[in-house]
Amino acid sequence: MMLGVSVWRSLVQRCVVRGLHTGSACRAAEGGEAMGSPTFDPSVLQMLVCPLSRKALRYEKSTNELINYELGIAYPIVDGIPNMIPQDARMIHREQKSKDPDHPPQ
Amino acid sequence: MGAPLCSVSRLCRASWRAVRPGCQRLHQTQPTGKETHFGFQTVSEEEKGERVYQVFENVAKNYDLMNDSMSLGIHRLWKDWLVRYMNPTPGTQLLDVAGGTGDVAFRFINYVQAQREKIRRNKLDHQQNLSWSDISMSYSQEQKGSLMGSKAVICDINKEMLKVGREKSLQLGYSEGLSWVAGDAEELPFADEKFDIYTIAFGIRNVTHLEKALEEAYRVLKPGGRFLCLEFSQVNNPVLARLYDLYSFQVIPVLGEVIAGDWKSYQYLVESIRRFPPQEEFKEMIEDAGFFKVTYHNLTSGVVAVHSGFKL
Amino acid sequence: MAAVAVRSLSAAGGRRLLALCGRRPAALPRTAFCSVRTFWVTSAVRSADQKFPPPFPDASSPPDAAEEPSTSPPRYTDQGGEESEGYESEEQLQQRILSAALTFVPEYGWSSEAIAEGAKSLDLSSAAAGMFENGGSDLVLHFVSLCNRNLTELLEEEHKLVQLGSTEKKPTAQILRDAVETRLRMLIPYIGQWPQAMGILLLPHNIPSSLALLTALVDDIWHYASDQSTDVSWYTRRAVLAGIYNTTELVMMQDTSPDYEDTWHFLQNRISEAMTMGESMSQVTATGEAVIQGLMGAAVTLKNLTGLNQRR
Repeated sequence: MMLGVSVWRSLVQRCVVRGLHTGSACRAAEGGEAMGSPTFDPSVLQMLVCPLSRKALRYEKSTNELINYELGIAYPIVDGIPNMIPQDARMIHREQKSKDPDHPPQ
Repeated sequence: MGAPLCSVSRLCRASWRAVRPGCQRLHQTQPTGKETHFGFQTVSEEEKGERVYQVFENVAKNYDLMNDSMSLGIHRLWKDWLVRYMNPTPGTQLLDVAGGTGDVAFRFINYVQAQREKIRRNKLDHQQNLSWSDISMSYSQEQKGSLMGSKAVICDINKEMLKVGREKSLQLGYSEGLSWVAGDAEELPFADEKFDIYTIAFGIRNVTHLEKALEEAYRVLKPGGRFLCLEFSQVNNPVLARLYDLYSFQVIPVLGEVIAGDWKSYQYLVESIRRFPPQEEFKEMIEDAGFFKVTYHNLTSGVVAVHSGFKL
Repeated sequence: MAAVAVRSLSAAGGRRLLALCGRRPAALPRTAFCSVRTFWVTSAVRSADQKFPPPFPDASSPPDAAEEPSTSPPRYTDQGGEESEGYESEEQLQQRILSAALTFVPEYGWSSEAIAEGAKSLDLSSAAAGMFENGGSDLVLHFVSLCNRNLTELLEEEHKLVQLGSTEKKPTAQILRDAVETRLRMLIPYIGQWPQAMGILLLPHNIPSSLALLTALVDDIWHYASDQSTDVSWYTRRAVLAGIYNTTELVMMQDTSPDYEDTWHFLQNRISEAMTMGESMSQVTATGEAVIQGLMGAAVTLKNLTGLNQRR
């Protein structure tokens, strides 16, 4: 029982401390942005595929998206985290597709 | 959110049907009429996904705190156990699904670093008459990366959880070897045979189609790769089971209300635990997905179990 | 620490030995080609041991499940060699991984890391090492049974040559000596790591398996060396040869003479002693005692060796 109480107390303490921590963490995160942590890490691209077609994706720097040209789907990258959930993806238009020289429309 | 989804799904349906015949996902807007359970309630499959999402969105910020208070801190030991059992070698590519807050991934990184250190020390012990150039070589090699190519990819469907996890990783000072990806366990956005180990800790019971998640796990693992699942399971000791019931149904939702101001989410968590198949049944499901040498270990009298299987 | 090991060793060993001794010698599996009336070989073992490639990492040929008395490492479940048609059974794959791992023993020791490297060399994920929950123990036991099998094959070959009359028979003492030497020479590629392996073999939970392997080895050697003229009991012969094998192994661990000359010298002397002992050998009362004493001596010596295991 004593153990339970002490655990509980430490939890409550941590809860209070956490309020402070998250604040500083946010600041740290902002600072880190410049250092490149929350930006997209292209090395993940070696593993990532479109969950629908399972084909490789291309990183589009200008829009900060991962694009499956074949299906015309763009997956957003939010805070450096690629969002690979099809429901959140954006459909890209034909014209944009045909502009890309490497990927002529099929 | 609804609009882009509709358009994408309309556009894509034809093409990915061709790629993956029989695929029925992505049309969350078009109810399939199938029913599943959300805790003890029966809801449509579409609704489960959404509601699970909401639960974890609500819970995300206080997730660690709640885990600590609900399990009296034991969840840490369980996760420690999982990683020790995994015994990853340097160079291991880990996919941690539903690992939003990074608990397993951080432990993995720590473990691999320790492992690497151990190997290096062993090597030095075994070759005592190293020349100075050898020693300086070994140190310069070390600087190439203390993880020797080990990497943990954390995939969670819930962006809130990922955010919390990544914040935590910055706070704890993890700089390398971690990648965060929002993705669905039933439709992993990863190429085939990319990972050595797939872990899912306290996540698989929230997946709508278990078999699909298992299939996907099998797909992304390399041959020889290992599936590891840490999940609440069935307590077999009747006395303990009674206590456990009392605790989970009477205490946990109260804790949820007190700490997170959210009774319902925690009630869901508790109920979903009871809905999850018991050890043997889940083991068979893993075998059905194609895994070999499937075993499980009960921890804390079966409050949780670790299932393990290999892709051969 | 060592004392505890020794105590539990003798306890476990004693029990096990009773069980082993309870078995009739006639029940040995080798009765198939048992024509005890043998024509002796001259120096076939010598040539044989040149034929024998020191490390045999590519003993990748799956072990033919036919010839495996008590020597198979424990806990490999059913599913034996039943599956044919080009499919490799789970167990065969495991054996293949362990054989591949031997190449990495000099670098990583008898450890899960070596197994992980072995798996990688077969284009499997390093996570496959997780299949061997006893890690280093599984690897050592595999190696020992592999060596035993190799020796048996060599002895069998030689035996056939004698039967065909293409070589002359060798005296019993010579056969014993050559067999033990051949077997011990198999350790040379791993000599730096062998004290570690002996330590592993003497861990309480490995004692049953290692004793079974040792007795199987000794029985096999005697089978090919057996001389009808000696009326020494089978139990005594087993005990004496096991003792000789163990002590010579220990001498070898500390031998720094070129090509282990001292070891072979020691071996020669022990064999001659045993042969001249003749009838007095039959007075060895408690059968198991010699084996146990040999093992206990090994444990103690090992303790002393741990400081010395970096030869050269």
